[in-house]
Amino acid sequence: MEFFYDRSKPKKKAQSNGRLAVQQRMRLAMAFLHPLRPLIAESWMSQGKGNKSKAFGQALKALMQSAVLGHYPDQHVAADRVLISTGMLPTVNVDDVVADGNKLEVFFSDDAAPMASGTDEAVLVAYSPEAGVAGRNTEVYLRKTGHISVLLPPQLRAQPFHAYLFMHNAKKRQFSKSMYLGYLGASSADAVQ
Amino acid sequence: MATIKKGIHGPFRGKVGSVIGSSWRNINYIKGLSLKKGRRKPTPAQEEARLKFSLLNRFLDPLSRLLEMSFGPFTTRATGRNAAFSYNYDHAFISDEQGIRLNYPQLRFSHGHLVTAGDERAWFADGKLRVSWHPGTFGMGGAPDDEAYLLVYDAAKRTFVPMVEATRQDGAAETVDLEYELDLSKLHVWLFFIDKSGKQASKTIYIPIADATQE
Repeated sequence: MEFFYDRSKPKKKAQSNGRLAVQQRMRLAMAFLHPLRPLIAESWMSQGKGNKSKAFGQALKALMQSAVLGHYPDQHVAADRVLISTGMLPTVNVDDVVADGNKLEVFFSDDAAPMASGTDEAVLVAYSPEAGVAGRNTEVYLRKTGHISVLLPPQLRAQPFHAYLFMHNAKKRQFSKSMYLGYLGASSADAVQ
Repeated sequence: MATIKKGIHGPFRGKVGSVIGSSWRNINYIKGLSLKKGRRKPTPAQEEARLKFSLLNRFLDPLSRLLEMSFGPFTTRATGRNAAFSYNYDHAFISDEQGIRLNYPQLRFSHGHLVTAGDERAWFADGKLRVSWHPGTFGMGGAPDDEAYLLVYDAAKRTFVPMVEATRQDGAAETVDLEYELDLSKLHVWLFFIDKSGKQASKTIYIPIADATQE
């Protein structure tokens, strides 16, 4: 039994590696998803049962379970495994991705599918977790158009970013899973599929 | 004399013998009367810490109300200014043969997830300091009516220079007419945004002044 206070003794017990690993996983997942919060509030809404916080929680859970790779202390987020939207709506076939400095363009085609409609809207997202900056299309592009473009925020013109594409119906009730289009360099002309 | 408003278990305000009861931001405190000040000389490390405290506190003094908004969402009990102090203390100083000085480009006055504007520029023209940024929002993390907060600090006069109010969609702002000549090499400019409701802020961007860097 210790009767005297020993100032050289650390106040807290050293935390276990397992606990630190979970904390790091949580921190990485939050840092990646937080700037996309407004988008995820819509695109994961079906999983959140109409609640924005629950929707974000579900997206966070999915990211931690499937997109954080490596072992502590070298864990990292694999952006290609992150789902920024989820749902049953069919995706499209991406034919070409072109990043030309100021603009990101995607050309896609569509196979006839029972749930797909020509009026489904496409959303293209360019995102740099390092800069904490994301941009999405502000105009409406339809599934039948086969083309979508997004004007890049100035911060993303000088540094590489991740690109994602997903679809939703006109009422924003049904969403598709997001497709990862690649890590596009500031100077690269084409996407790395 | 102290009064106990909520009975024997409640907090009290005032002096009871050598004990003083008080409250601050809904936190109730009991403090002892201060003892006599020691006559021991401060160690060099203590002196350095005191200098840093006074430098940063004096600099943040006029910004208290602003910091309450820009750092407020990240604090529960602490003030926005305390949060700003804590955030800046670790990297806000340069220590060299000239002594301890503030590292202006590293200072931050806000923290949050609103997007910064990008393309920020500052230059001097027609007797005014002008600042511009990208007015777009790109669909996420910001709104056109976010308030732009431009802080312009004149290190020579140790004062903040007043700016004309602007929003994100304006994409530019300038100083009000000044009655004195500005020394551009001593001017420091920072830009950040706070949303209309005053609940979300962006990170702070330090903008080097074009004319000053060319000299």
